[in-house]
Amino acid sequence: MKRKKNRKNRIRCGKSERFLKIAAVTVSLLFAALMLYPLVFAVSSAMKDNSQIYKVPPKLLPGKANSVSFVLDYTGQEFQDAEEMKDQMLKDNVLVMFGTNFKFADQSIMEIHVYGTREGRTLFHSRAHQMKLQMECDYGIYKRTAIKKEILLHDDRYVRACESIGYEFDENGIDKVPEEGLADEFQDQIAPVIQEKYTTAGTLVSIGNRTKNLLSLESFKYYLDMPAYIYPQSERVVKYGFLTFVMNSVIVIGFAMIAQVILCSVCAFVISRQLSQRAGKFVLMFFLGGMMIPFASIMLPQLIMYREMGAYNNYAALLLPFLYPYGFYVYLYKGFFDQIPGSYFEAAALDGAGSWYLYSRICMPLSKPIISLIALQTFIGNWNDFFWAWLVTEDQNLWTLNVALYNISNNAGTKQNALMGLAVVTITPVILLSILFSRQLKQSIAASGVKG
Amino acid sequence: MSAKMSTKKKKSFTAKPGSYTFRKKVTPWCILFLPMAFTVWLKYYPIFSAFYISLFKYDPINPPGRFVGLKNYLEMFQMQFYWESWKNTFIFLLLQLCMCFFIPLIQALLLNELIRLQKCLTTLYILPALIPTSVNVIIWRWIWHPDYGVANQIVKFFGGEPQVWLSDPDLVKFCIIFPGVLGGGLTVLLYLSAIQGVSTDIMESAALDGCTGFKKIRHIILPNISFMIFIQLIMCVITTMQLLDAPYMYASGGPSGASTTQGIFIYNAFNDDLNYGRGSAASVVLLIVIAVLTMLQMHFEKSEKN
Repeated sequence: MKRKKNRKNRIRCGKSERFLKIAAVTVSLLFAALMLYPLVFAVSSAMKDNSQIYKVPPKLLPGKANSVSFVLDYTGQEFQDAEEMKDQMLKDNVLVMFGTNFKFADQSIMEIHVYGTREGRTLFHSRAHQMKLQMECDYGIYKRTAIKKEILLHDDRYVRACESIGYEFDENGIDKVPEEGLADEFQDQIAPVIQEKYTTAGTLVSIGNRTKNLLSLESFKYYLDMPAYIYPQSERVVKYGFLTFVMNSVIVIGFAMIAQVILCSVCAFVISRQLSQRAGKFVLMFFLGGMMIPFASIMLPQLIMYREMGAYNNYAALLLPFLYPYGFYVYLYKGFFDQIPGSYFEAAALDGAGSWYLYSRICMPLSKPIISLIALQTFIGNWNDFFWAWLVTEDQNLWTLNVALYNISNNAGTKQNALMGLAVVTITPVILLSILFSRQLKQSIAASGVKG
Repeated sequence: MSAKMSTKKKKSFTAKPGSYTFRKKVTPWCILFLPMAFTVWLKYYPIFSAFYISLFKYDPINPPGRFVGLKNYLEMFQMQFYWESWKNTFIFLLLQLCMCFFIPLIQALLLNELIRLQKCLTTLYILPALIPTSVNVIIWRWIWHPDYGVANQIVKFFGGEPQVWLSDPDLVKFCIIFPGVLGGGLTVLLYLSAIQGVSTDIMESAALDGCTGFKKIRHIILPNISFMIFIQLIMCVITTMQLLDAPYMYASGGPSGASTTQGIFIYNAFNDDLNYGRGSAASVVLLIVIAVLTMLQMHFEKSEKN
């Protein structure tokens, strides 16, 4: 086929055709690159750390990520018991971690290890990711505080901070050894600051660093937890983090898909098979009219109505709007059902099948392609819904993805890389799925256009 | 045929309750009753409710409050802000038509010329269309950021003055519409399937007559899909008239009301001013405008069918 076409081109009008082909390839690829740019930009921004994101001019690719190990030595120091030693190590740990993160924010230190040693044995180890430390500073234990030694160690804050970060301690030694063979780029820079401003009890033996770019990927884990820090008043958000919003979206969209698939098919079945043509047309127009009513113009009375019913700030308010059949889907279904040979139904009806049997045993098993099409259409059409969910939800645990992203992005303290991270997390599954099911997706979209 | 139908109908009316014909006639309506009732309840009733509320100085605590007739409408029509929001809506529409409407068409026409790349490029084109507005807002607000954004870097690269983009009343509409340039993937597919639906006979005979390349696009393809283009045009107008999410999420209708569309005007009327009557009045006017446009669309679709 292709060769044939080429030969044809070679014979006549080759020039114009070839010019068009070249233009088509270049422009299409250009568009493709332009379209991919925001996506690539989002992914790369999400992987930048808290200082890289504010670099001007912005770079396309994230810079390298550093992992820094501090070794503190407690040999020769007197402690009454193990508790006191642990307490001292926790204090030092907090000082080193938060001090370094605060003072050297622009050095892309993504990970900090702190080892406490005594007489050649490692007794203490703690490891924190930059995002974790930053979140504690922005929303957590050290919210709205200056990062100074007295404040870091005030009350039991340092204990809570260490518990949140996680650590290992055993007075008889743990089986972790400070990594060997690290570079010492930061030694001269950081050591004086730690010794002067965040003086630790243990002696600072070494500060080693190495490049570990995978750490940028680990940031995503902390982005997902971020909502728990921003909205500590909501129990469910604290427990599940960003997944709460994912779950809400899944519930809403899933419900919409199921409701539309069932409701529309029932209506279309009745219209297509049981009503006269005129009555069917009237009912179809009735449903189509309902769908065409613009949301903006019924938003206000709808809100008043739902509020009166008590469907406000709960799942009922989010799910109820999907409980009527969308006219267009009924129309698509009807077009499909009309093509099922009538003899199937007649034969079954002669054998005494009722409407329900005809619908569930004969009509539906034949309509698998249209069911997947309607489900996809519902997903594409409602996955972007924002305003209604935004109007009727106040509690964070009811937010859908769109509402949550909007609210988090309006939260002044949120860093852009975290936002981008959440955005990427939101769209990645959809993009993967749409690549996987691209054939069905294309068919479904093309079918939705053939409505004249 | 019609005579047959009418006799059938007469029979159904005379059928006794409980008889087979009666059951056959009534069952479908029984099944349809619930979905239709829900549609009336969730969709049609709010329209009348909007009209009803718009006649009152609505009091949310003791509804419906004082009856004022058409005063809400008259007051609203005297508001400068109301007409500005219409003006904004139309500027949005104009921008949408200039920037976003033709691009999917061009993309589809060019994609049609490709053979090997077509499949993977169409997939690629759908992706931005599936990105929800909230995510787009996050990405593009950062691109438009006056200090750290890419947009200003590009402007600076070409020697221009850095702009404040979303905070500039003159530029904000452009900034909100521009991301849509890349997000027209679904329309591309519609056009593409329309182009591929043009009968091969026409294409082949055109090729035999020496009509290839750009000539083919101009004289063969475009006239054949003109109906599709027209429908898309009306769809574009209808959706832009209802524009609500994007301006709200990008700039909350600001700065100084420069991105306040009709939808945001309605929202502000009841959210900020607590004036339910005015909000409903604006709703009704918007509904009428969109209804006229929709009827226009249906009229043309019908005439095309015939």
